[in-house]
Amino acid sequence: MRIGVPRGLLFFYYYPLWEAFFRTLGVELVVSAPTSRPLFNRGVVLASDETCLPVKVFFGHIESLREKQVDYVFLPRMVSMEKRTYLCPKLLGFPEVVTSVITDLPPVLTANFNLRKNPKELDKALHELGKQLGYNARRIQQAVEAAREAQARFEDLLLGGQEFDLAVKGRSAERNTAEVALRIGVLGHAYMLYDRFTSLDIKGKLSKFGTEIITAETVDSGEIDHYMEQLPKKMFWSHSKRILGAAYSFIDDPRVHGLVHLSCFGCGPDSMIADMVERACRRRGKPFMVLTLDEHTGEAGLVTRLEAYVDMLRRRVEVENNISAHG
Amino acid sequence: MNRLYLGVDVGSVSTNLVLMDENREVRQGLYLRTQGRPLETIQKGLSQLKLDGGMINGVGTTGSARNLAAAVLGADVVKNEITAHAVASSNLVPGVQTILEIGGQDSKIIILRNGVVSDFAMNTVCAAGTGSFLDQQAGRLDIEIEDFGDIALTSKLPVRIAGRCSVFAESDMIHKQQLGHSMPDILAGLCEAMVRNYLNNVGKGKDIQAPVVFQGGVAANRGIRRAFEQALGLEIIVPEHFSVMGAVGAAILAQEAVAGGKPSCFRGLNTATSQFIASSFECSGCPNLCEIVQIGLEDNVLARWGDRCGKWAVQEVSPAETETA
Repeated sequence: MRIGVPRGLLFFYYYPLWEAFFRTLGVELVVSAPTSRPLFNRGVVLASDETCLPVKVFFGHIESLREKQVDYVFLPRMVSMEKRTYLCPKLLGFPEVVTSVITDLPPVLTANFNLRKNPKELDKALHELGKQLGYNARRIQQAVEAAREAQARFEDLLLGGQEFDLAVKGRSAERNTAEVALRIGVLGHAYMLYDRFTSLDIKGKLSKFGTEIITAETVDSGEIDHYMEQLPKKMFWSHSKRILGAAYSFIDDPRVHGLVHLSCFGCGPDSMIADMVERACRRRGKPFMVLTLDEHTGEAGLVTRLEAYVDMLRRRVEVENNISAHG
Repeated sequence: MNRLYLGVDVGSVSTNLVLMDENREVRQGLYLRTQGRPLETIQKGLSQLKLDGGMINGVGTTGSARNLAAAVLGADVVKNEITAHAVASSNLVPGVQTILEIGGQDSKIIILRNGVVSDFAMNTVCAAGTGSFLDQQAGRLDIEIEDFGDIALTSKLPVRIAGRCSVFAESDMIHKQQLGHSMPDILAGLCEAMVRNYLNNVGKGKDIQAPVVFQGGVAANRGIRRAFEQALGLEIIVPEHFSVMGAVGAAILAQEAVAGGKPSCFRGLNTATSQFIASSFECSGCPNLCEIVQIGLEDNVLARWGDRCGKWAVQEVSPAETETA
């Protein structure tokens, strides 16, 4: 049996979970190719105009699976993955939206993941998936355990600062720990940041300028909760909670010289988060820049802004160093 | 012989060239319309330079076509517009803390503290509230863009115009004009709307402190300058070379780049008559189908860009090689 997985959206958060689960069951996973121009263009044509860029790109990925001779397309409905938070509303109705737009798709394999009240719902959802494919409970339980383990390892690797491309394969590698002159906290959804094409390779561009990049995935959940407790109201979107908590942690961290928020046009939660981060940065005098990407974004404008931003950070650091050397 | 530095700022609307001497005095400033042909405009500018016995010792480029300009001229430094503008301003107006810059297609604000850029913002995709819109409205009202600001200054009671979007601004202006408001009042109203829009978008949340410098092509418009003064309650300084400040910054950066006796990469003034060929092709190496732009001089490829993977990058050619070639 072959199951198709679109390389977009939740792929960047949960692929190791799915991969280990299906592999242990003995199912072959077929992942769509990394985002490319034709795939991107197809997605933009297929998806509703109102939605955000990563959702548009995701449509391109789903459509590309049609030609891959898969028995099912895997589109889990992930409603909530931790207590008292939700994923983005755009993701919740995805299985229905997709099947109404792309008609001649192989059957959709889905299950509800709703861990809002009870973390045990994860096992339940996975069992439901396994049952749909005709496996017995013992076999499924083995797969569930493998899946949890793989996901935990993936999250640990990211926490340790491992590159996404390696961490998603469960690979650890020695990281270069040489002291860098500039460290930038790059905020944004994983499906933007780690998709090289969609993000116009913003991480690669910043690295080329000689800066080290740290992302929200390197901040542990205890620290995020600590910052979230100080908010007057609960942040109930899980991704936004992580991004915002990480932002506050970067603002407090003197080893982080500045923050860049990579947002996408049409992202509701981001529009609020970006403003909250901006206010906090202003209060603390930390340089902050929002980059909003959409399908029309040209590289030239992005490079200009990044280059100017890095120039600015570099000059600031030089000045600070000069002052402390004399003070 | 006088050592001169050439700064070139190639923007979407204008191409500016500045010749600066060792003491950072501007010897010559050229403001040319790019008119969609950056390559030819750079060459045209080059042929109009008057060296007066001086010699170009360093070249810097900036603006959205900075890479193109660098490839054609042989630049010693290639810098983004923000840095270039900040460098120019802090040299001409020591102690400057805020730079308002409005050009043809973009507008930006740069905040400096202790001579260092501490914050900046650029307008987003929309060109509302930039020079192009003023140009277009001047054309519609059949007045010279050069007279725009002076006419606005004669207004006693500026009308209120929506400045958020240029489409709405235009329909608002037509509406007010049909009601019988005078031309100066409408123009002054447009100036105020533009400044309001600028401060709400680009300047949102920025700590604007004196001295404030206003530069870019739109700084020629005295109406806009007055509107800024009224909105901010601060004196607005328009430097002498306001329209070519990016190029001034590039020239200063070029001077810094060659300091210490590094030979310049400049290809020479005869570049003005060289036959550059800009061509493009689609790379079919992978599904990304990148559009590669290639700049050639006779049989040599000087530069290529547009590829995501870097496989088309041209090895840098040293100035000595190009001269003998």
